[in-house]
Amino acid sequence: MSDPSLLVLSSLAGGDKHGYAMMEDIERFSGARLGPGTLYGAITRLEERGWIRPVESNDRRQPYAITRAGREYLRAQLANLDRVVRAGLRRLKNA
Amino acid sequence: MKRIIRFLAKLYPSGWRKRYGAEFDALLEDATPSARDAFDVFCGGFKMQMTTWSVRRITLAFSVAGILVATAVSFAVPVHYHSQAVFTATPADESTRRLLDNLERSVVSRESLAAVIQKHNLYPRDHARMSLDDVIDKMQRHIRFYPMPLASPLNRDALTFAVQFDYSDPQAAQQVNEELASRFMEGMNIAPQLNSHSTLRLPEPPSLPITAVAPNRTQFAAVGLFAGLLAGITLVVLVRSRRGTTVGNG
Repeated sequence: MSDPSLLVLSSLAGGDKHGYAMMEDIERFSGARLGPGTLYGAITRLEERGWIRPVESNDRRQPYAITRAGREYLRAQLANLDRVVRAGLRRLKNA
Repeated sequence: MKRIIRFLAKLYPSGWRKRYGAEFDALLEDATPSARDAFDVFCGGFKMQMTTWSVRRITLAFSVAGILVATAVSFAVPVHYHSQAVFTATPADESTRRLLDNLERSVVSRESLAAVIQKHNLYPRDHARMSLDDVIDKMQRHIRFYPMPLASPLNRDALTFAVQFDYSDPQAAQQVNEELASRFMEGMNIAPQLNSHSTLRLPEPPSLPITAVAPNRTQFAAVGLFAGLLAGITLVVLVRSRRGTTVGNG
């Protein structure tokens, strides 16, 4: 899974985070390191679509939370990926 | 590196900077950015601009960039001048035509051109990295013989043709063309048994070229404009279709 938007949504599914915390979390659970430009490109698009929202904070580091629509989108995308992964593994096993 | 990235972050559209600028700067302060991150920020800013600029602005920017790049490239292309001489041969019959064909073959023969190359020290750079055979091939590509249009006033009762030689130096182009012309004239006199009735004249001796014929910078600029326009439109379509249909990367 390398789509930055899915990585950001997956990270926020585990709790609210600001940009740097997301970068660290994503690297930890996926091994992929998102650059600042890629991360904020994804944040911008996800916020535009209403899948994440900024959480009130007094810090310059703006935390974000996943919205209900974001969870639904993530669930649907992961279910698709899961089907692909299962089919791929099954075929590899039978090959 | 942080300073470079902070500078690159200014490439983002002002509306975006207003909304995300402070938190983006905070992220850059927390992270230990690498050169890869700098490139990532540059690409992010570029893509963000592409999504906010109007189609007209993008295509205009790419067209201007295309013209500038193509013009810069045209300065790297070697300059070429061509010297031209015009001959008339009479009478305009089959025997004169055959004689001219033989003369042309003899003038551009490998032996003849090898002597011209050595005498005028032509293509000195190519000599260092090519064999003499290859240099002769190159010179043959730079010599053109072509018949003048039938409507030419010189062409009523004579076979009129031009000999053109292209070279990077205008004086050398003229001198070599003079050499080729004199070889033509000498060839006509050398074998009288083959030529009982034809005569060759040189009404327009080899010219000294004043302006370069290549590179044609207008042509380069036009190609750059077209390529830039095409690249701009392709980019608009790609970026906007990606943005419209998928969550996308970056």
